[in-house]
Amino acid sequence: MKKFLGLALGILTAIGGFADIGDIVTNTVVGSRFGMSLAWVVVLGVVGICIFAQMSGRVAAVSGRATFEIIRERLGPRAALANLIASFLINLLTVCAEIGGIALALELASSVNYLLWVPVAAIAVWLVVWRVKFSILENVSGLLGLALIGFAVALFLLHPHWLDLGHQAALQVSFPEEKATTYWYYAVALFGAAMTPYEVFFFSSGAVEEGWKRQDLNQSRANVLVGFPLGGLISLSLAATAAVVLLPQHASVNALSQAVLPVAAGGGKLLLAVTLLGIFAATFGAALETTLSSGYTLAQFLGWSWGKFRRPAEAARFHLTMIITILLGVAILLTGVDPVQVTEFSVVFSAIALPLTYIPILIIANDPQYMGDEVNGRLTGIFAVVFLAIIIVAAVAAIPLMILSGAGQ
Amino acid sequence: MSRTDAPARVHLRRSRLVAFVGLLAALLAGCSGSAAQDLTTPLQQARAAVASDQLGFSLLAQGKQTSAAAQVLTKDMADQLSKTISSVAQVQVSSATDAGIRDETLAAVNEAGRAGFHARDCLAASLPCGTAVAELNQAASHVQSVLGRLEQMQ
Repeated sequence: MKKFLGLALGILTAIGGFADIGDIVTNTVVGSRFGMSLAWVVVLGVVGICIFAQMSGRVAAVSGRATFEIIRERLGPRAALANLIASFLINLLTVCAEIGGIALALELASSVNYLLWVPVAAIAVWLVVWRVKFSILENVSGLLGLALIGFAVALFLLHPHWLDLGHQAALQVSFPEEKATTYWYYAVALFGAAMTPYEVFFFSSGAVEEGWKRQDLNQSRANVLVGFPLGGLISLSLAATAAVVLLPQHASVNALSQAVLPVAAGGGKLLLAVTLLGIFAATFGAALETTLSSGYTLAQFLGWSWGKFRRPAEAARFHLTMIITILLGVAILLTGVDPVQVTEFSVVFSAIALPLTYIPILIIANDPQYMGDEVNGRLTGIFAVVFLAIIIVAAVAAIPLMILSGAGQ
Repeated sequence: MSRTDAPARVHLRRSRLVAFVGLLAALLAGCSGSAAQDLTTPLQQARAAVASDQLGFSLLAQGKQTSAAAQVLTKDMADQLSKTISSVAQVQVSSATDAGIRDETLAAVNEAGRAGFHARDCLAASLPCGTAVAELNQAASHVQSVLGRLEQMQ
């Protein structure tokens, strides 16, 4: 019974923790401009993150070492340093986007300007990272994030023409007001939103934090292979609500306040309140994960003592890195930069940096000497190589598409 | 490679670099070549902002939207509209026809902006917003008619 409860908790946490501000913004923008015609990218991204997280969790459980320790070992210090700089900067951008997301959710609930909420959100993130146990912060934010299911409930309450949505998704309906480059730019953004590198740093470091062994791998597989696809359904419902309510009105999304309009239209004030709680929890959970990931990447690369399982005094540089990351994120937000635009850039740059972390993990997961019985099987190996090709194409195409589409204008 | 070739190669590399930077700058600036194309995107953004405000007020009237969320929406849309007005004002034209359509677009986004600012202010002050809603409806029609003309010109 205890094992079953642990499994259920892990799956629910994976569902609730799947979406972050990147998924919320990108899916609603895409739904309001392209309907469901980019749903295939969400499906592709979910399959990709399942493969990536499953491989990195397996590597962490077998070796007892997290992603960045392995990257340094495999690539050598010089190549790994370039990898570290890119990953750290993108992580910082994501921390900034997530803290901005918390502040925007609080603004929507209170009508107090989000800039006043930014320092409050940052202090709350720091306090939780500093004081709260790893398992509690992971489970509570994941479970509260389940409130994002409000988007799926709203979709049912809106009584959409399901065939029309299916038609948009399957037949790739064209949208004459949108350019092909914009379509493909948002395809890359959606892919980046689903396969954010910090998720893997957090997942593999979390495996070390929680002391996973080979016997824990089945539960890890269930969390990933059941939890992430169900989380992907929440992402699809975000796009679908925007496609049903906002697309026919030509109300393309530029702000979070527009993204929640379909929820209010479908379920009224109560569902809106539940969904705002979900947005708050999802962004807060992701802010914790990205802040921890900043500490993990730097500490693992430099060989510092790291981890929430140690007292802060025993991992002082790890905690100092996280404090500096939060302060930098706050400083960027207080310049008045639009958090939604920061989010859009963070998901695109995530797609650009993805090969840097994916390739070393793939190499190790394919190495029988390192992995023993847990080496990639034939099917996983084939999928992993196909995704490597997709990830490289997305990374190479991202900057040209950003320029040609005017960053999705 | 002889010593005399070196300056020529350096010059060629510099020329290529300058050409690349120029092309990149042009692409980043989003130069599309015609005023009608440059005006369409901001006008579409104005239409989106006005439509969102209209939807927000409709949900508020039905008791489905909280006043806090509606206030934030009208504030966000007012910010969006002011950016749109600036970007239309910055569009440069090279003919009398283009100047005419630019001025018509500016009039439409100004009307949308006025309606959006009025909507934001009346909600913030908890005043009746009937007039603001009527202005939004009128601005939506104006923006749509200019957008139709712009699309015909392309």
